Order: sequence, then structure tokens, then C-alpha cells
Amino acid sequence: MTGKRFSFKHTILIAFLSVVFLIGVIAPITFAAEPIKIGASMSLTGKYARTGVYTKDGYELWAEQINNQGGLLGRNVEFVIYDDQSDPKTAAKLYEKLITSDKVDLLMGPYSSGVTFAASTITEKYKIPMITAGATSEEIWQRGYKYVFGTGPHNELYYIGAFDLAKQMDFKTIAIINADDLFPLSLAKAVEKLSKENGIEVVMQEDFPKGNQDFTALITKIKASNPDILFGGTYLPDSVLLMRQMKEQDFCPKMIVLSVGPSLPDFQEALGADASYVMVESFWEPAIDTPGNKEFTEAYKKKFGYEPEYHGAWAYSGCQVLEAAVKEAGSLEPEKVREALTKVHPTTLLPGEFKVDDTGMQVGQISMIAQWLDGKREVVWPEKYATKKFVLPVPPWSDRK
Amino acid sequence: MGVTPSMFIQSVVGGVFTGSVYALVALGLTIMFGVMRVLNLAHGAFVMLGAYLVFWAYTLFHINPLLAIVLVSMPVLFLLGMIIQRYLISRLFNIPPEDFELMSAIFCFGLSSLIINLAIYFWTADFRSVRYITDALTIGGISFSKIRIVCFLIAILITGLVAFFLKKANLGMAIRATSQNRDSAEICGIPTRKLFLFVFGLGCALAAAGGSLLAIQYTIYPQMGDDYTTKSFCIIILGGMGSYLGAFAGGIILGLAEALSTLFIGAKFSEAVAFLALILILLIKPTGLFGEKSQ
Repeated sequence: MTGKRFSFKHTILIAFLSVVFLIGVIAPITFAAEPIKIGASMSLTGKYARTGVYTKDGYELWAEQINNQGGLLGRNVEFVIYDDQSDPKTAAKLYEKLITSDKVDLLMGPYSSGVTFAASTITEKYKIPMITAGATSEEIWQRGYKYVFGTGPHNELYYIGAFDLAKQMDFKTIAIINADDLFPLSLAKAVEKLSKENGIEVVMQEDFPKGNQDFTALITKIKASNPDILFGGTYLPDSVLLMRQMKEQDFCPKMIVLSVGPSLPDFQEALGADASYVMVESFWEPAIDTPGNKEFTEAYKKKFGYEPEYHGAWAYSGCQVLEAAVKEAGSLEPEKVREALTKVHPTTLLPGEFKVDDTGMQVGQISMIAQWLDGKREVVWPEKYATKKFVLPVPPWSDRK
Repeated sequence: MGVTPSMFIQSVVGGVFTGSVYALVALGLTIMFGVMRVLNLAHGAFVMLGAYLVFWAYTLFHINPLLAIVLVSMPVLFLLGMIIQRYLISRLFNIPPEDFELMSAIFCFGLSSLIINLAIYFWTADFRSVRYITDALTIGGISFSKIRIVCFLIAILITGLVAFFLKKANLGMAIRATSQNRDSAEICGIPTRKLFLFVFGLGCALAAAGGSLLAIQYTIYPQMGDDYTTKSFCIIILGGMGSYLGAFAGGIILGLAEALSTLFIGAKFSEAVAFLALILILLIKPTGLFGEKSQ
């Protein structure tokens, strides 16, 4: 009997000690080491696959570096990234899953304006702040949403520099063409507005279908309208085809500004010397003097084996903003992080500083203008960051070697 | 701003050049459909593979891109087509004939997705291009891109050879016979199963030829063929399902319609015009411009 009672006490003692052990030793290990989960969907396949991967790499480099520095609020961070196949509907579903099923602590944005537009309807529904890293269309911030924050300069700021240069050169007319897609459409609208503000006459404006395979007819129309400036809201395949066919038809306006395409090295690879003098918006370049930029460029190249494009720098900067906001809030609570995002002004890798207006749209970052010169993309505006002097007017095809 | 005659002619030239590639790709699709009743939704993926083969042959082995069309791109896709037919599509023949078209469409849709994602995996989503002859001739104020003239001639040549082959060669006649009536063809002793091998190979090779021509003029990336699947279906419905002449004419008509609608209405309507033409044709002449009444 006594033996039994003793063993009963013993059992309780062991049970008690086990509980103490669990709470005291194992729990802190498991719970404290639980990383902060940051969710995002990304265009890892589909039409934005390439730039989507750049963006993801930017996120991951930041995560690795912050973990090496002791983490965020003393905890490691970990990205949960799903492939949205560049599809807005898929992205919306994935954000729903990230929030309700994965229960992530923080969110970062997907790539591209169109995908972000759809994804933000979900993040708004659950009142969780999302910092966008690859979206700039104003439409995203014109819906009265409170939980979506921009990192890069929004579309209306893209070409301020280009118009500054156009005015210096006294150019008077512009033709605007753009792919029939949310982002190029909103760029075209912004350019139209800037033209009016700067007293430059829009002599032609046309949308062309996405993935257009022939610009011959459109070029004859642009040529007939005889503009000083050509603005093209293009993606890479459009921009390359447009330049090839402009050369074939011997059409060369005094200033050529194309979106997106010329910001990729492929533009130069595809066109060779014919890429020269084309201007493009630039949010970031490896050579500009912003805090930590040189170290970022080296670390990125070392980790991924290729030179970073602005997408990677932009994604990394978005994470820097998230970091600043979480530190300011001292918590992961969505409301507190949101509040902090409206207040903080961290400097990132991008020129200017992070600053949003009441709608969450970015207004503090500067969009630079780059020009292809001698096979290199050089910053030509603003002077503060310029790596070379701009060349305008663009020399006609017949004067080039 | 009016449209001058030279703008009109320039646009027609552009439209015909683009249309010739459409025609080539659609010809492959219409042969496959006519003979085998396969709704090949993977056609655009074969176009893309053809383009990549020219790119790699040129980049890795410095093979002239025009030679690469006949030496690399078309033969490889011909073989691949035969393998796909032999080991995959032939299995679909076991299902009831009335379900075959739908099942083949579903199968090809999956195949297309697989091929495109494999391309992204192995070749990445990077944009590639073949830089080859970039200048132009100017005749009477109208410019003719040299490379597009060459591509146009190649497209016409290949289309012509295929038409000649279908008309005159024994195998070609067997293909046409099977296309007109499969059961009778079998009764007459045509080994249709063996014929299908050749037909699917030929269809893929023609898609590859179109893709190769695109590789030289355009940017190469894994999703580049997507539009070609839809446009090719438009063209073969426009021209008449299974009609070879119809596919060719339909391709040129689509190219012209896109160019002229850009010129006269606006570039953004050029895509809609293709589908509008499709609807009109289906309303007025459901068998297509060159289609014969089905038996």
C-alpha cells in the first residue's frame, strides 16, 4: 500500500516537474525562436516572372541581413512567399490564404500594379497594412484604402525630370502611345497631365494591344503627327520592336522616352547601338549615392549571382520601411504598424526619403531619368545623381554609324 | 490628321508581313485539326519552342538563324510532335469519338502549361533576342525591313511547299483523304494511325517555323506563343476549319485587318477586329471563307 501511495506521489512529482520543465525550458526555446512570418505572393511564373523573381530576391536578402543582425524586435524573420503566376485573381486568393490560414504577422506586396490592385482589396478587408514594392499606379490609392502603402515614386512623379529636360530643350509637341494595360495606361495619363502643365502639345495619343507584334501602321501615324517627343508606355518586347521598326521607317523624334523596357539590360542586348539615346525612368541605379547602396549591390550580387535591377533595390527598400515602422510601433499589431507607417520617414536605397500622403501613396521618393549612352545606362537627371550629361536632341538614324 | 497613300501602303506592307507568319502557324493548326480532330491548344507553346531553338542554335553554335529554321527548329519539333502523338495523344483515341475533341483540348491545354513552365524553369523568363540584319530598303518612300522581307519569303516558300506536297505527293493525298473522311480513308487502306504521326509532326514543325521567324524579328520569352494559339484558332475558323487555302488567306487577312484598323480606327481596336471578323464570319458563313460543307 505504502509503496503504491509513494509511487502515486512520485508520479505527481514527475508530472509536476515535467510541466515545470516544459514551461521553463522548452517553451522559451520554441516560442521565442518562433520567427516573425512575413507573407507575400509573387509573380514567380507568368508574364512578370522575371521582375517578380528580382523582387523576391530583394525581400530575401533583407531577411537574411536582418536575421544576421539579431532580427526584428529580437525575433528572426521568415518570408512565406507563394507564386501568383502574375495573375491578379490568384494573388487575391493567396493573400486571403496568407492572412486566414498561414496567419502571417506582416505583409509585403506582390509585383506589378495590376496584381497589387487586386491583392490590396483583400488586405484592406482584413485591415492589415501592406507595403507595396512593385506597384505605382495611382488607382491603387484612389479608393480610400487605409492599409496599402507605396514605396516607389507614384506614376505622376516618373517623368518630371523628362519634362524638365524637354523644357530646357524647348520641345513643343509630344506623341503618347501605350500598351493597353493598367500600368502603361496610368503612365500615359500622367504624361498627358505633365504635358499640359508644361505647355507641351499632345499631338497624338493611342493605346495599342498588349503583346502587339507589329508597329508599322502605328509608326506611320506617329510620323505623320511629327512630334518633338515620343513617349511610349511599353514593356520590354514592345520597346524593342518599336525601336527596330522606327529605325526601319527612318523615324527619329528629338526625344524618345520609353517605360520599363529600356531599364533592363536586355534592351541593349537586343538592339545594340540602336538602343542609344533612349530615355527611361529610373528609381535606382547601383552607382547612386544613397546610404548602404554600395553594400547592398555587392551583397545582392554575391548572394544571387547577378547584378541587381531597381526591382530588387525597391523590394529591399520596402522591407527597410517595414523594419522602420515595426521598430517605431514596437509591436506587430496591424493597427500600430499602420499608424507608424504614416509617421516614419526612413531613408532607403532609393533617392529621396520615404514619405506617404493621407492615402498611403508615396510622395517623398524621386524618380530619376536615365539615358542609354555608348552601351551604358547613365543617370542624366537630376544633376545631384547624374553620371553623365544628357544628349538631346537625339541624332537622326542617318547620322549614326 | 489624314491618312496619306504612303501611310496606307506602308501599313499594308506591315500587315502582310505579320500575316504571313500568322498564316504559317495557322496552317499547322488546321492540318492537325482537319486530319486528327485534335484541338491543339499547345500550338503557341510549339511556336515558342521553335523560337528558342533558333535562339540557342544561333547563340551556342553560331548557326545562321535562317539556316537554323530548316536544320534545327523544324526537324526537332517534327520529331517532338511525333513523340507526343505516339506516346500521349494516341492514348486519347481510346475514348469515344464524340468526346475526343474536348478531351484533346483539355490534354493540349495541360501540355501547353507544362511546356511553358518547363521553359521558364530551364531557360528562365529572361527576354532573349537574335540580332540579325536590322536595316531596311526604301522604295518610293515605303520602307521594307530586309529581315521581314526574308521572313515573308520563307513563310511563302514553306506554305507553298506544304500546299504542293498535300496536292501532289501520295502522302499528301492520303492526308487530304483522311481529312475529308477518316472512315472511308481507312477502308481504302490508308494507315491513319501512322499518318497521324506524320501529321502531328508536320503541324508542330510548321508552328516551329513560325516561331523561328518570330525569333528573328521579335523578342523571345516563354509566353510569347500564347497569342498565337488564340489567333490561329481565329484564323482557321475565319478561313474554314481544315482548309489549307483558308488558313493561308485567313492569316494574311488577319494581319491586314490589324494593320488597317490601327491606321483607320486606332491601335487599341486592332485585336478586337480579329474577333469581330470571326463573329461576322460565323454569322454569315459558318463554314468559313474557304470551308466546305461538312458531310
